[in-house]
Amino acid sequence: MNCKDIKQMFFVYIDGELEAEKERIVVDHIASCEKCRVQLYEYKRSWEMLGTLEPIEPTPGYISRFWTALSYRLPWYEKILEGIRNLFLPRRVVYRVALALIVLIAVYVSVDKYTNVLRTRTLLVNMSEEEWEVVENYDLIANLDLLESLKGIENIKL
Amino acid sequence: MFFFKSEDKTIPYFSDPDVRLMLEFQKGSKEAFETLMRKNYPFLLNFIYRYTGDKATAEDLTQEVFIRVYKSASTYVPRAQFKTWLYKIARNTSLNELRRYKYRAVSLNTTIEIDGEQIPRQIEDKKIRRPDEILIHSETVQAVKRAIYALPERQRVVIILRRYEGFSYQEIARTMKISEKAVKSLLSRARENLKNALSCLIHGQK
Repeated sequence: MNCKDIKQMFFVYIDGELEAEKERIVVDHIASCEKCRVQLYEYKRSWEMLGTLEPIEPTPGYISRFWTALSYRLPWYEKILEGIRNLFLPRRVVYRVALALIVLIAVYVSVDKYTNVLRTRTLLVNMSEEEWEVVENYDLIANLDLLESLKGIENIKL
Repeated sequence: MFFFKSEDKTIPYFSDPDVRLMLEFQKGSKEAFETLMRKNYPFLLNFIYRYTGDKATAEDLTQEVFIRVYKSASTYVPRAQFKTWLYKIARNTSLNELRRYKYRAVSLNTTIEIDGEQIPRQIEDKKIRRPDEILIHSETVQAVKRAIYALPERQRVVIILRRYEGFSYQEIARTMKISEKAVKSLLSRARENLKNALSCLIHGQK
């Protein structure tokens, strides 16, 4: 292998990911080639030097600062939703409770209507003939006072 | 059914704990989001700090990234590892912000023309240091910062992700939406550029 081939393996060699056989070839080559040895040193050293740039720490209170910054950025409806979420329960639970309430109300209304129908049907079945007459002539009975006040009503033949 | 829906463990990347936290947050857990933040904020801050070269800008942009994560939670679908997705947002946010404020990656070896006179660029070090603190280490740190910042954008991202964040070639490729071959090529050029930028220090310390 020439210097160009060896140089292509430098970075993998520095990363320690070169196969054992290829690593031996690199080591043997740099032992005898001054130019490649210097180059490899430069690559290694510059890579190591990057480590001198130490990490920085976040400024304390970055989480509360985040929530404050977020509150300025959210549209009004998101803020209301956020407030509701904070007041009550997680979003999933809120949705499920709301759905359960809607279902309960719908069931209550349906059952109530059904029992009213049943009650009316029972009443109608158990009514006497006299009661039926009242029901059938309900409009007439309701206006009985008015009819009686009319003069000559007795003379009208139905 | 909605009422009885159980956790879908077959969704991709469910084994990634951060993806799970994000999905928890999607369901309304604020604590999950704070856990995500505590876990990733320091790494992201340092990524952006190395990318922009400025701590205050890095703090602002890191907050911005998490605001974007928060806002995108309702539409979040795990299509990649969480950190790949997060760093992609971080890179785009940083790049947009730098473009917006017309920051440019400028080599400190270049000069500015003022009244027809070529004046060298300088970076003001606002930290007051004692004379004995101005040592080789500090010079190296500044030189490294300048060398990273002077790299072309894509090379800079690759170097930071590989050297400081410990990303694999595959992870870098996914974050940058390029092939692994392109990552290796960018990394080689970046290393070559860094070696050239730091060569004075390398031989000075030999």
